[in-house]
Amino acid sequence: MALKDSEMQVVSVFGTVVLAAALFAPVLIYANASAAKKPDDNLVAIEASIAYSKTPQKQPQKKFKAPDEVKPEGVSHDETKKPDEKKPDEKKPDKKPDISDLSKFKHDTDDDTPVGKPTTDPGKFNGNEQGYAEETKGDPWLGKLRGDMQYTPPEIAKGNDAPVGCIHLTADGKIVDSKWVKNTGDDLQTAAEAAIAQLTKTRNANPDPVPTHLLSLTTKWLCFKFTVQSQ
Amino acid sequence: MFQVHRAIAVAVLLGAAVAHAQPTGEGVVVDVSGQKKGLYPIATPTAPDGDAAAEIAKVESFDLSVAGVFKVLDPVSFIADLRGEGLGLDPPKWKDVGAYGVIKYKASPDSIEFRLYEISKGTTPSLTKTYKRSGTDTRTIVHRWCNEVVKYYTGEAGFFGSKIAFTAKGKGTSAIYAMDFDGANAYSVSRNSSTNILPAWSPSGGEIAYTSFMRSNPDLYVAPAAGGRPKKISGQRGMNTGASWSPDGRQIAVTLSKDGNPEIYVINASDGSVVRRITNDKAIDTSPAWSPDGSQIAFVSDRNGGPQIFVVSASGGAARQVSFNGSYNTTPTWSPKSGKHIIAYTTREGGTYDIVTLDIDSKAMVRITQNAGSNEEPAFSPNGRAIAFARAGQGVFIANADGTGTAMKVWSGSATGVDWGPAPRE
Repeated sequence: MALKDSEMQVVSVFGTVVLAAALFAPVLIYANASAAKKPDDNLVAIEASIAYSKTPQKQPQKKFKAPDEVKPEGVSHDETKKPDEKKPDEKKPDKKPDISDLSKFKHDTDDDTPVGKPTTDPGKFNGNEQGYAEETKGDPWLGKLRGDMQYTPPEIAKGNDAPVGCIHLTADGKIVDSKWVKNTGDDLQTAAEAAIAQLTKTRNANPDPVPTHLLSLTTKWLCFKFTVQSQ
Repeated sequence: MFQVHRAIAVAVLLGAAVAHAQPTGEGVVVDVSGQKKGLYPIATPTAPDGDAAAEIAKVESFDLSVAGVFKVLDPVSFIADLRGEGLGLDPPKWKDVGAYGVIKYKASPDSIEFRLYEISKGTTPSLTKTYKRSGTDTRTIVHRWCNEVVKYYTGEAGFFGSKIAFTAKGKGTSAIYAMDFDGANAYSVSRNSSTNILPAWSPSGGEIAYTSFMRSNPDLYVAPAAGGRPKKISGQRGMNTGASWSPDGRQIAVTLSKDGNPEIYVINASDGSVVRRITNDKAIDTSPAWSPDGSQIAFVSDRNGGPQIFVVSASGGAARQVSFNGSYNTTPTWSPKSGKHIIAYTTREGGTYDIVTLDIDSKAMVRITQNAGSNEEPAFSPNGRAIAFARAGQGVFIANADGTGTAMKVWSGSATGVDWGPAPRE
């Protein structure tokens, strides 16, 4: 049984709508689900992504409602109407684009995401944040970093508290800044400051680039708690 | 449409998060755990002016360098404006040269004011003392100050101002000498032209026992530490050598060979009468050393072959060998460290002699000398932080008892039989 043109158009429009719904519905549902789980508006931690991957995920189980019949709009049913005349092809310019000034090609965005700064800037140093121990335990690069400090207070050094000092690493492994979160004001503080100074001197003379998996350390203060081993 | 945008944003940011973690919250990344060890860097700059400024700095620098706990920094590295600072301190200038502590002083004809700064505490001195100079020489004042510094850091009394006795060898003779621990003010205790050996300070520091051949037989004498007529304490036939005082000063452990074979005895310090015999072995037993708690006596015996260090109860009984390195170990001496059982002795390796320490409980050994001449007859400082010994043909040296640092010569000449006197009385 042959279909009329108008019937075929209806069927094709209906099929397009169904296909579009099938493609976008999971994304929309997933977006809603993740938005519901987030604790705040600040995105996002690597720990969070790991948590997602560890959690068995189910595909969205929401039942789909059959789409309503779509009435075709904007389609001419006047079989007598003549099609629009085609415009003659515009000639492409013969000249190659001038790329001497690349700023001419600069634009804000390639897509239609909202304009403005993102809530996080993953590669930028944030001086308000400190690192997590969970990210660094047992890492050989950090172990070497720690070893380069040579924290050995003299035998008779006075003090019982543990100084806490932080450094700002750059991706190429240099140390560009340091600060003290806890200054104990005793010989252990002097020893810790000497250790940080030694580390800075060593690492800036022979930088050891931060490995990819630790690049997050360049975005915040990397802190050290200086403790004394019991004899 | 907004939700589509949001979905895309979520997807993009989740991907970015994998590459760049951006955690929030507080926490400390790395625990850096260090062990306390090594010497305390301290600066002892010479005051820019004032009476005896150079002498004060010299004595102070030497005292602290042999204290066993300090590393005295080289003045060449100092960048501070000493004249501008005066008795004060510009902490960053001293931190930059690696100092943990800085000592300043100001001397006038009447007094000397000392100040100890800890860099971590800024411009407020941690310790300040002023000494009157009338009737007291500058060296003694500086020694007292340095004892205060040691006590501030360690809680222990310093040994500056103590004395060392030793045997100075001459042509065909040898004399008992005593001197300040730093080699100053040496003088002869024995005043005869015979052979005098093996001096031993009494616990009070008022007397020195030594063996002299002045009556041909090697008899034991006790003389005032400042010198004077000696009193014969033990004149048994044969050897009366190697005296070691009991901690209470009432008895002396000594080697006697009155029965033919050298054995260890305990005699009365007042009259030399034998209190008890400690060893009874056909081998040679000699060089007794009374432990600081009075309970044990270390000595040398070749009963198991070559000379080795043995320990026996001060009341006698079975002796046990404690040295097992090499085949030749002699001249034991006890560390005065409370609660520890550490001895230092001379050990021979190849053709040279070196000083080692041995923790009898843990068996841990520390080498005090190595590849620096032939070193013999060690003696601990009163606080156990340093060891004096004789280096053949060169003189008397002081080294840190933990094996760190470099030995410092305090007396030049041919010396042997070193013994370190008690802590000075303030």
